[in-house]
Amino acid sequence: MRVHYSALLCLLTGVAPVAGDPSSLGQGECGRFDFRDVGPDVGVEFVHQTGATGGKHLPETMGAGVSWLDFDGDGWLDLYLVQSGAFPPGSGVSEGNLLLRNLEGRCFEVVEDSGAEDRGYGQGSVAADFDGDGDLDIYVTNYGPDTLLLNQGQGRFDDGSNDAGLGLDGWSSSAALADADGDGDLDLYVSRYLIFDPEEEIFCGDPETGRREYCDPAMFRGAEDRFFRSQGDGRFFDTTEEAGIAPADGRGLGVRFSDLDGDFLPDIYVANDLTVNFLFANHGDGTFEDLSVLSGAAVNRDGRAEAGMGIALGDVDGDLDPDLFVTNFDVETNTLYRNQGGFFFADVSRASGLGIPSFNQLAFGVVAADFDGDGDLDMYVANGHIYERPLRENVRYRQPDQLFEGDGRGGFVPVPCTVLDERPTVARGLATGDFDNDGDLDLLVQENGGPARLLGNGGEPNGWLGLRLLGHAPNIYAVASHIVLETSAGRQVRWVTAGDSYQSSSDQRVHFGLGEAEILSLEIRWPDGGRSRLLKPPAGKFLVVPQRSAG
Amino acid sequence: MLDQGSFSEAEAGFRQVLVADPRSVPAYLGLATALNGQGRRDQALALLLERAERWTRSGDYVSAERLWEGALEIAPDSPQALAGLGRTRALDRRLLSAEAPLQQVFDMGRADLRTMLYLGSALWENGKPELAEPVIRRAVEQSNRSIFAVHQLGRLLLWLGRFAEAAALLAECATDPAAGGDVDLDLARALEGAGDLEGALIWYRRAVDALPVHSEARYGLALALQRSGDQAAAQRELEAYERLYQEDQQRIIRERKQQARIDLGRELLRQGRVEEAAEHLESLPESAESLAALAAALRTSGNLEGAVDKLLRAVALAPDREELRALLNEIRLEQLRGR
Repeated sequence: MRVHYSALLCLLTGVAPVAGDPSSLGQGECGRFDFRDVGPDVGVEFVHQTGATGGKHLPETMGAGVSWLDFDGDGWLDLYLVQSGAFPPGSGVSEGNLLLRNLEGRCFEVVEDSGAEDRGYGQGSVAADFDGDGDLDIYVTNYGPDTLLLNQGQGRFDDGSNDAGLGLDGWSSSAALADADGDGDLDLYVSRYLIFDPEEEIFCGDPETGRREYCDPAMFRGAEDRFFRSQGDGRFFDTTEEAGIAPADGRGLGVRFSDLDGDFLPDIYVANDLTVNFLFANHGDGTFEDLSVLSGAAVNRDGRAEAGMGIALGDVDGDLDPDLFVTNFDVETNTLYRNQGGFFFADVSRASGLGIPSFNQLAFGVVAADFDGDGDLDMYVANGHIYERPLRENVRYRQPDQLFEGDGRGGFVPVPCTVLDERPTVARGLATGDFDNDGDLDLLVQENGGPARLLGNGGEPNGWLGLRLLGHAPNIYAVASHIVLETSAGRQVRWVTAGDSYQSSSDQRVHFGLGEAEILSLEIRWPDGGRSRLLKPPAGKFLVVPQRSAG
Repeated sequence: MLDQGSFSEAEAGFRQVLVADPRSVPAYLGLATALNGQGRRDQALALLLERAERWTRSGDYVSAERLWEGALEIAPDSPQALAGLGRTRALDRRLLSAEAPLQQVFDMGRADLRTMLYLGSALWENGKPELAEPVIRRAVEQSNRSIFAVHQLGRLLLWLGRFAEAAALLAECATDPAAGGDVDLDLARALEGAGDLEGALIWYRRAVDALPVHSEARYGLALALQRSGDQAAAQRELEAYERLYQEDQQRIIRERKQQARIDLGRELLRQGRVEEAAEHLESLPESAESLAALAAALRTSGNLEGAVDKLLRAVALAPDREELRALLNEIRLEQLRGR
């Protein structure tokens, strides 16, 4: 393995990342949130390439995603950045995806010859332990065959797609995992976008001038999503039809597993572009019931299917159930679906304060997390149009991302943020994680055809608690665990997730902001039904909680 | 010509140009300048306003905008020209540019109902709903509570989540005999948002009666029925919704794909690949649009007879499309000249 020059320089010169050191950053970039673009300082230098040559092929504008993962198990979050490259795939050399190792929160180095490059036309990725061997593997969604990269240790990954029965061809967008059938291993859902043939005889744009533009996705048939059950031996079987999911032929983009009705079974929610979003209720035996339209979370309050892109999930109103937030196109708002119990959701976008500011934005990646550590969830939205000349004059191609501060009761206010407002981009992928282990959540935003931005969170530290759950094999990362933290200020809930936002996956560790509150107890509901309760666990650190010895 | 001050001579010249090319924007602008130069300002203005209005109505926003701007050069404070310019830009989805002229007319106190509603829409879509509200309220007052204005205000308040206020306004609209199913649907949504499920059900049902193939009305009714506990009826409406929704989806895919195929023909023609364009367009399912594009290709290749034939069929399919008739006449004229 060779060490990337800039990272080496970073190490030698001791340019430490400053994300956790407010004194060196100054104040006021985003009020008390204080995000700074620290990527170049810490060796995160990656430019996504679309391969666009003027033909305006839709896949060019849809990528790409990012994943935070601790692939080497050293307790520091590493990064996986997805590259697209020449279009059509195979028409040129792709630089391949980039795996960056985190050197104790100070610098990132490129892991060369890792085998994780996957030179397909990349869209997104998700990190999870696919083979149950205790380390994190990577599933890459492509326009073209997907790739499962199995972690062999020592910074080496092997293509395990064929042996695993994965390697789905077509156009995949996002992927997510959870133990959907209760057999202990992780099953996979792949959202797939649409059926696109670059050779098709059509012209999109202005035939008067010959100026091409990306085609309206509404003119293409949706590709069918696929659900794969793990056999527990590293192999996966496509059980989409038997699972009751088919035909899931929306134009799938974001996907999320989470227990939406409080029965501790991971349900599936898919954001579809211009078709109804899907909600599949889990029966617990590997089959699902399509409750999409009945749930109220398939369309907006007016009954209109929106251009769903990314999904954030979290308890934004403090009632301990997961609410859903879906990013959409301009002229639509982003939509907050408040969970009303029993698989019923209400569109409360306007009242929440999240809807109206999104009216002239096209949003993709989205994360709900407690960025200021005050005990409630905030929202970060990654924006950027697909059209260089949007149809409406009051909409821009490059758009600033948006940060919203939550009040814990379902209300949000936009946070003016210099680092975002002054640098509009064409953002797509987004994931959160605490890369420097300082107790606040940082962000990685990937621009389409542009650089990745590592936004270090350097705000005044509040109280916090981090958890790394160690579940029973093969679900060692305890994906889909449900954790309730009780503090002197109330209760908070989190779910361990593999795959979220848009084409991305965030830190699988769990983060709670505490503000000034004291921790009273922590209750974990493990994926296999086991329960653990910890009384007054210490704040201000990442706790490793093994399932067997907890409680 | 104009520099020499020979305005009357210029007038005759521009009129001749317009006889040969009735769509010549420079000729209209020149004619207006010539009339204005002769002290016939009102006539110049009337000429531009009338033509700009006509082009706005036919969707030729680029030409219309140039004429509105020409009119404003002659009469910088003309409320009609300012309003027309704003409206044309709004129709052309350029709401940022539309806002200033519309606002100017409004501030002059010369905005009519239509202008105020366009300004309200522009402010709303430009992300300033708080500024849109007083403008639309003024439209409501000034128009003696026109149903259009009241409906627009109700829609804005509904969008802002002020359900009870929206419901009151929409209920007022719903009593008007001219109100359509869209008012019923908005009222149902407002009542539902305000917590009046019973009222919402009544108006969702009316909306479904008025708009039987409107999938969103079916969806609203289905969810309201579900909330009221009538699961069987909810299920029936949901099935109707899903069927209509799927039909909508298929139609959208078909229409947009067809448009992109026609546009490919036009693009080939623009590139001078006339035969390829004609062959491609000939292979497409017949529609007024595809026939018009094919006629353009045939005309370019010199096959005027073929072009006329295609345009006759296009006109038969879309008898209301004035520009197809105009094009047909133009090609027939060419045919006659050729003979």
